[in-house]
Amino acid sequence: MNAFIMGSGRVASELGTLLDQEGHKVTLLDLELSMFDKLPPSFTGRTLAGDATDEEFLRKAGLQGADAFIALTRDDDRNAMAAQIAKHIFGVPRVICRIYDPPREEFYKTLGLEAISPIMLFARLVKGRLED
Amino acid sequence: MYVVMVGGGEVAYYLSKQFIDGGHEVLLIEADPKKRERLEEALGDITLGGNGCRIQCLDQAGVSRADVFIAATDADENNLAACQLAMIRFGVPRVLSILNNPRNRNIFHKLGIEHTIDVADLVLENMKAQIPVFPLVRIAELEGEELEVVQIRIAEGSALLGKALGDTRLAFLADAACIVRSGEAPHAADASTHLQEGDTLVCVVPRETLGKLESELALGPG
Repeated sequence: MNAFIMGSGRVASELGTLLDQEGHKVTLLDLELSMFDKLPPSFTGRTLAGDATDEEFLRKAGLQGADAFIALTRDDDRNAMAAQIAKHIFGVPRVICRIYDPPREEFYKTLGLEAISPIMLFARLVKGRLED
Repeated sequence: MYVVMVGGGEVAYYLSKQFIDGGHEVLLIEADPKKRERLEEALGDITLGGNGCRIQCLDQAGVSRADVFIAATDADENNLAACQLAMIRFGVPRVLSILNNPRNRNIFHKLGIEHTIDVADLVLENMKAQIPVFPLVRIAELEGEELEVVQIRIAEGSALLGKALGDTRLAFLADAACIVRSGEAPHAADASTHLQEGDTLVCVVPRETLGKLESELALGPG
């Protein structure tokens, strides 16, 4: 799989590392190269500095033809915008974005985006455990 | 009319003032308390603190009864989120956004936010209008954005000088352009109009012909 991940935080770095270890082609995108300090030295994927809400940057990064785009920055608005560019302009088949704000997770789902709210995910998980 | 704006910068201030003077109801959503204070001092009690990209905030602002929604923050990702919520979640009939990065026009339009105001582009076209080396300047977009009002300037050294409009590559503009010439009242240009230095043609053309027009002007007479 050719996967693009927007973000350089803990989740982005862990996901990138996992996919890389499994032999997938991974590209991590964030505003500055210095932000990728959480990646282990063993990471063999690409890291690119630039604005992933900019269509031109994504084109130059080679997003056309990618299999997956995952937006994992801390900013809901940036995640939603980049994810929609990946889906509607580049036609990436699998697009997932993190949306912290639960009401907006619902909203983006109604637009056909695969949005995940870590808050709701964890709340549902804990609730499920309690009901076991 | 009820107008809700997100982002309390200069554009929002002057625009709000115009709406208020016209007797319309305006609400400005701005997170920064200092900006709100300044706006309220000048315009009265018309602001709401909060994040205009949040459903709760837009709910509180009564966006579902707004006739017009304008996103005017300095970050296009915020403008996009606010506009999508206003349009889809709250059903506002007219949603407009400022664009800070001209490249974002594409994604806004793809997502149905057709009314965008490209700040960089406006500045650029206004500057071009002041500098004679640019023969073609876009003045405005007409409703629906398929038509553009443009001005064509016949400058010193232009290959069109002295030619009848009908004998040039711009013949298709005959009877469709208004000619502005010093010492004359503006009037329709016809095929026999001889172009003079300093003439300006003002016309409405389909957007897709702009590229052709630009190259015709570069080429000169046919």
